[in-house]
Amino acid sequence: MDIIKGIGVSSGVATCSAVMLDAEDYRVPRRTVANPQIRREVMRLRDAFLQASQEVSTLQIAQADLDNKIKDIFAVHLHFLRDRTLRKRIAELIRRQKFTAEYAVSVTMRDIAKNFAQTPDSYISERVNDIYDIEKRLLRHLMGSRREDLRHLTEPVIVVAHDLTPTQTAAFDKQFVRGIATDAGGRTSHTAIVARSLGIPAVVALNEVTQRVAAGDTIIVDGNRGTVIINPDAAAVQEYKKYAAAIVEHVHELGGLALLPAETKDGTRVTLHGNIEFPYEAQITLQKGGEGIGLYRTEFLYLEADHEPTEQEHYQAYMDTIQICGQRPITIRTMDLGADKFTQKRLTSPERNPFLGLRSIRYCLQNQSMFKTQIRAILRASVHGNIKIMFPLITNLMELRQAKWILAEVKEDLEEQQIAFDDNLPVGIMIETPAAALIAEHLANEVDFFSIGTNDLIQYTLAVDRVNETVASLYSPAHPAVLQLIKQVHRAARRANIDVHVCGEMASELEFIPVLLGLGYTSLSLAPPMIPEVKKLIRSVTLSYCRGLARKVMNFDTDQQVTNYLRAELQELIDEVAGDKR
Amino acid sequence: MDSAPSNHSERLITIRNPHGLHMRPAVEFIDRANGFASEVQVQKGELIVDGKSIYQITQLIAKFGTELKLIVKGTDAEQAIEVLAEILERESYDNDVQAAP
Repeated sequence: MDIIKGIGVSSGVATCSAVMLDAEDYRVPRRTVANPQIRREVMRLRDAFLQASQEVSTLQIAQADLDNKIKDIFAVHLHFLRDRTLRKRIAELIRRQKFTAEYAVSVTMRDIAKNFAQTPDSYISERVNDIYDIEKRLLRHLMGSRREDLRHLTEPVIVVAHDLTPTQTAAFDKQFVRGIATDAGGRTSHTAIVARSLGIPAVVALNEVTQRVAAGDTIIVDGNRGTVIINPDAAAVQEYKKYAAAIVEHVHELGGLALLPAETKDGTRVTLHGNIEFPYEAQITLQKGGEGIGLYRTEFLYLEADHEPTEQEHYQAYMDTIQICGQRPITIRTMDLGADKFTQKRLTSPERNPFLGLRSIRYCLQNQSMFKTQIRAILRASVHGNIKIMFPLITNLMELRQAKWILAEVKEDLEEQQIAFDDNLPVGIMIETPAAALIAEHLANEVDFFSIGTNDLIQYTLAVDRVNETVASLYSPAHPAVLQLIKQVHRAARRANIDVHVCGEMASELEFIPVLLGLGYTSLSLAPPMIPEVKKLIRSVTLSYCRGLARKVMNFDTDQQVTNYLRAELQELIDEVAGDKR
Repeated sequence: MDSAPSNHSERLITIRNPHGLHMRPAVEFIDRANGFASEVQVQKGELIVDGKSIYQITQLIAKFGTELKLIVKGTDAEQAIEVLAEILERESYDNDVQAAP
């Protein structure tokens, strides 16, 4: 039994067997075998080489009519797989170091790759990928079915990975994923967002979970305590069974809240919406008591398919969502690609600083035909439901005007073609940069609503990469600078009399809910599974209490003070609620 | 084979392909090398590798301007060294452009 401590980013508990996710950073655990097993490992190695080279020759024959480039790649793989001296070197490693065949393959191939990568000549260094491909092919044969493609799961699993990329999660078969454990990541990393939206437990920032877990190990992911237990003993399994049952009961209790309004004790009505990525999540939002979709992230349309989504594909996804939501509001955020998402691959040279680079609205304004395709689909869908459009990452007024101008252009086209759309489609922007927050007053005159994306706002305000575990502790919604900006945005919106929402992770962190209410925010959009919990909290406070709390917090000068105070207050609230019940 | 007269040929070669000895020529090189009975070695500085192993050849990281010593020992050494040296010295390989990353 092995316990690793990380950060719990999505609550719940799951006990399941682990699958290792295929990734660049994939590392085979360092494992050794006893002397008598060495022969067996060498045999397994030989078999893997044999099977892998057979596989490649079959591929080569099957795809004989492919272009030369692909044939060359196969030829290279085949030569490596038939190279006796390579196999000998790996077998040597098994014999001398007693490594498992998997680990010996991995060490050797990585060593070779490192040698390539060191040369500045890109023509040669690019070959690193061939080596990784060969490594993966060999590992696949060595590990057999234990290391499956997540697209074709047949039984419940816990996904163990270095860090999940949006592309990987888009390809998940979510039905069978019961938990996630990753080396990297933070509270707002992509992994955390996905896990919360699926309502499965997740623990991130475990540093070396991929090295300590082997595919097929039984592991417990405890998202509440932020721990992962590898190969638990009988006592631990028993304890967690009870714990999981208690959680289920709690969730059941929350389920009863779905039909009650999100209202403070003194009668202030709060609107709770869901953040979604896929249309089916709209269903979860409604089940959990959400009243609409406050943030529809559309990037996933781009990440799931191997081509740019067509207008029809966009339209279909929006219509699917409308079909579920009826006339409840749906705020569609236009494509927010770039940075950690896939546009990187499309750029000719990688950006030095992608989060400050060509992402989001900037990318859209430079790729207008792509942008227009999405806008057309949104406009076409707008006649069927209560649709709003929202532009992300606005940093200045010109960007907003340009985006609105493109929207107007598309409207004109549709008009000419006599295609129906809602001419009064509300237009909003995400406030997620300090720049936008500081000029909110000006922006407010030209939009119908604001939505604060707290994740990016915090990251850009505090200059902290939220996924970088070495600085992730500096990332905090409680930082006075962040709270000031959030306060200011509300004031600007109120003066211009426009709607303002919070749709970042902060809107689902319980200790911050009273502060947001106290600052005047009454519309929050969050991961659907969190809605009941947040509603329960809202129903346990009064607005006057929240205002007092916000005033007090705005006077603190460090984020530690703020955090400690809010946590203490939250604990008191929870105790009170528990007391009421007794 | 051992009873046949054994030859030893060596030649100094400079890589002239701007892209270096990349995968395509490396594959061609070892394919041809494996067709000869002679032992084939390639030396770069201190490092001597087996000229019949793709993995070892690629470990040379032979770039434009890299100097290599081709060493061939065996009955067909004279013929082999001509064929193999030609591959290493070629200034361009078919499809260089398409194969470029």
